[in-house]
Amino acid sequence: MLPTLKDTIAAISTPHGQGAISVIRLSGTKSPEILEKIFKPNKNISKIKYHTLYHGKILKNNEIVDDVLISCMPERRSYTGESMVEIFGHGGNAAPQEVLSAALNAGARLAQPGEFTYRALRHGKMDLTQAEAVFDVIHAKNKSALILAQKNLEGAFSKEIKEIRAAVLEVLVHTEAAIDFSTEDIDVFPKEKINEKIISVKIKMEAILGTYKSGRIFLEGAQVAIIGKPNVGKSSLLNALLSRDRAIVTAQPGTTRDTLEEVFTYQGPTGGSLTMTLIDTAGIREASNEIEKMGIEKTKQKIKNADIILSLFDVSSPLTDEDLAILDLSALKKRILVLNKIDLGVNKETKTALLKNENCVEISAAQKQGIETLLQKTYEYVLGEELNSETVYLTKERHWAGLEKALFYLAQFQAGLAQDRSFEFLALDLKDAVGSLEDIIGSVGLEDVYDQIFSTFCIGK
Amino acid sequence: MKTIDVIVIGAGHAGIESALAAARMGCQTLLLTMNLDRVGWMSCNPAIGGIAKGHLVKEVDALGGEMAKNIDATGIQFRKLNTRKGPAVQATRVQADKVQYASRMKKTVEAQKNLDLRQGCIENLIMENQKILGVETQIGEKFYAKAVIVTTGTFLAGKIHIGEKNYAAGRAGDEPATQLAQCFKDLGFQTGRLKTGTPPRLNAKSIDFSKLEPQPGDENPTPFSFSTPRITQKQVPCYITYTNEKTHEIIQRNLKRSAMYGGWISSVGPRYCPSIEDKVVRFADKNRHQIFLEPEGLDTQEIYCNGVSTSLPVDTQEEFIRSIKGLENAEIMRHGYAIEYDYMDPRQLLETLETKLVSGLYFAGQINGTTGYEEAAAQGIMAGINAALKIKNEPPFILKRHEAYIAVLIDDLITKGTQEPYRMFTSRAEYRLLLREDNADLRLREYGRKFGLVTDTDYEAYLTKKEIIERRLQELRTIKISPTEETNTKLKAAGLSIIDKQNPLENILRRTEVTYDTLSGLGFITEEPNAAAKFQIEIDVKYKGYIERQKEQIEKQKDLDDLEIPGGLNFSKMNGLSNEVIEKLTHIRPTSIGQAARISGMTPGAITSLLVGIKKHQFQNVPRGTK
Repeated sequence: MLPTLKDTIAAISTPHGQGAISVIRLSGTKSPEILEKIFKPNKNISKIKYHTLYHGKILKNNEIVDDVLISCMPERRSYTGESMVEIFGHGGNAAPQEVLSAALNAGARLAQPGEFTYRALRHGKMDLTQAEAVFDVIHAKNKSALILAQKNLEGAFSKEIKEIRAAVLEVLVHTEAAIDFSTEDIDVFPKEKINEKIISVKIKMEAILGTYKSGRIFLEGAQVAIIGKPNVGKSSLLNALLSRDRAIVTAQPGTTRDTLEEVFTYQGPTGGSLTMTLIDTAGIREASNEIEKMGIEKTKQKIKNADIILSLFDVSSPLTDEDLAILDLSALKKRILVLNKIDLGVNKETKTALLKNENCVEISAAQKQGIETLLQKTYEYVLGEELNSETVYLTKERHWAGLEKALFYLAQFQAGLAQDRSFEFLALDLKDAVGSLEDIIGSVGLEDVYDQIFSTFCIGK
Repeated sequence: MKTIDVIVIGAGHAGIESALAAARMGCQTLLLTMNLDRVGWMSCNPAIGGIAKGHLVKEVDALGGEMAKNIDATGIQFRKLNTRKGPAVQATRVQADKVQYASRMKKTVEAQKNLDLRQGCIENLIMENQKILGVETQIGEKFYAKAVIVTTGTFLAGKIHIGEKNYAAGRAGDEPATQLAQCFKDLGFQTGRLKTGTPPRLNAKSIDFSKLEPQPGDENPTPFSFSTPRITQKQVPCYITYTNEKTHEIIQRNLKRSAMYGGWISSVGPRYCPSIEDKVVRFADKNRHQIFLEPEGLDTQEIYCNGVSTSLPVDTQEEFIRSIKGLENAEIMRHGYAIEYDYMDPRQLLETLETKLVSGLYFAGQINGTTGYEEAAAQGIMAGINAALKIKNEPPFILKRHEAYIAVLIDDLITKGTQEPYRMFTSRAEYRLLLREDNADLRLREYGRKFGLVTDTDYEAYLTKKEIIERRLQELRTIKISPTEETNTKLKAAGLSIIDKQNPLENILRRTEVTYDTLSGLGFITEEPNAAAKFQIEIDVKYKGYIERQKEQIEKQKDLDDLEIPGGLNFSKMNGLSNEVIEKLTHIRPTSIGQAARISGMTPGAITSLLVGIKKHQFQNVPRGTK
């Protein structure tokens, strides 16, 4: 059910629990009115100015419930696009609850989760990609994710899409002008120029599409699957990774008895960070019963979904058939071969055989040797790049699909152009490409074709 | 007190089509004009058609209107435009003999059964409880009718500007309708002010045509109307010349003396038809602007100077005109001027062009903020048909955007309103590939026939054409040619690539270089359809992919258009709608979700809220006991 935009909503916007301060927010036409009912300023003020802090008390049933700072924001300059009030009170459990209930008693409704952003979206204060980025900022798992999400919240991603749209629209404008104003003395782009324009916009689109993989990993972290035969040291490696001083471990229940997942964030040497979901998988040996079979299927699935595989081998003993099966299984994925148990000596044949492959790291999980090197290598290999604060990253499948669709129409446009199709057919492809791009951002406040036609060409005989 | 069926105020291009349609549908109709010598008068450019406008004319013709037939009989230069582009954007444009055009139109109106033509200047509407009863003239005559269609063009509070001079007028030489404009305001209609302009007319005797580039019409003029077999009257050329830097210097120097730049006019003019002073200012880097010199008729010396509409003072008009090649000694016969006039915000109209405010009152043409004779005629015929249908208690005639430019025009007007004089462009039609001049009859003849506006002869011709197309298309699908030596030799001889497997003929026709004539030339097809049918068949086969794509888009849109918004819905009580959206919905009152989605500023979120609101409304309005 869609929430109404008509009433005034209120919520505690800071997390529950102990803390120095908390923020209670109100949004809606009645915000100032509600504030007037519950707020008593310390000094006499004739009129509350916008974007100014005032010190005072919050009253509930004529009783002081908190000592606070308040600030009011007008419709045009608030987060939601509505009249807003923010109350900065004391933290903890009791005080913010009391302030909130004072606001609710005075006529506000308790906001649903995400409702402030929903209103911002509905009032055109942000576009769809920005609203999505609000979620990403709140849920950012590490610094890289935060930087990336904040950029998209500021509109960096939608700006790129708008620029792409503008470039396609420019060609559409020339195409439409050539159709509707062919009797006028106007200079529309010749075919070659149109093709050049489309080529360059396609390059830009492809570049953005190319950031999807790392963008998603920066934002959501990488799935790292640890595979290996039983007793090769998977659990020891997991423990070694998790018990490092710099690791921030988040407990997450194992999804099944066969795989265990742990999330932790690695701080890269150059300041970047990567959140990894470590997946300890079951062995791959021939299954002897149904339950084990299911376990193996699950492992295969995990390997398929992983961004990178850490394949573990016991370098102190000869390779078994199972080891070879594991080598095979991960051959097509991005992987690092981890040569474990160096503390127990090295079997030369095993080492030589494994070193024939790319990306090997020697460690001792039990002695916690080589763990830092392994992490660094994983970080470098999975991302292949540092987070570039200049780059705009594509992070959502929805955006990816929209861009792909637009690219498809542009390719069709080019094919038509090459075949000398008349402009009205080509315009159909361009319109569909523009439409796909608009779907990504939601079409808020975009200028139309006619504004551009009449500002570009001198029309009118 | 005698009450007739329909009164039409204004005998311009909208009024005539309204009156003819209503009368032809059996309604007792009265057409009132301020000046009986100006019936069907071309106030501005003496031409009919153009890109997208030609489409409208063909559609009016297919419905049984008069415009196409009239221009076919009085056109003096026929041109097909965009011939090097695809069939959907090819269009017809015809220069008219403006006097002949008007006099033939008047004759048609006078000859029409059920239709009376009278001179009279309407000053007041007679009403009762928001329902129209009749009209009252300046001299106190009263006429009563069940429906009144207002087609007053630029006459409502019209004001002409030339330089710093201005005076009240409906067009140069005619009085404005000042009292009627006030009457609409008093009734509570929201009005706005628009501006348009017209260029000077020159004396042909004073133009040196030897210096100019002639622009002949088509060698084989194709008629506008589906009913006209061929064009028989004399054809004449137009001429092209250009402004130059000297011209621009003169205009720049006198800019502040123009009504526009001197600050005498504040209302909005059309961006696609700027005055010459606007062009010089806004496109200062262009060192010349094209001018078409178009004869206003066979029996007059007046030349329409297309491209230099202006509100500059008379001495500057003369000076800049004489700076132009071929016009060095040109004599101005009428000066160019700008005209400001009242229009009614068209969002106050229903899809039938009846006003929401007053039952039985219709607005059509330039009064709704449009420009152009064609746009006017299109609205005129629709208002006439709908007024007649309402009187007969029959369901209204509402076209969909995929059926006709007429629908695009009306839907745009009533849904989006307009901030500048609205002109039709092909790019306004999202299903442009289907809305062609050539298939207007296939799209609309049946409707015209249903209302009794299409004659037996015309209808039979349409049926025959349709039948031939269907039969021939079937033939192209079923007749298959095999890769025999004989076939491939024939293909090779015609310069075509050979086939390696059995192919239906339509596959061969789909090739870019192959036409229907190629196939019959090779003997694959024996019987030959006429040219119009052949054209249809080729389009159908060759552009099948694009046409199918447009049809899919229509289907998607149809889902939204089929979702009706109930009449009594209270938008302000709905959840999830911002105040701005509520205001727009309340003002425009869209009848379907599809229409609501076209309102400017409407977001996907608001549409979702609207859908939820409608569901809720329907649920709440289920009769008690059935829930």
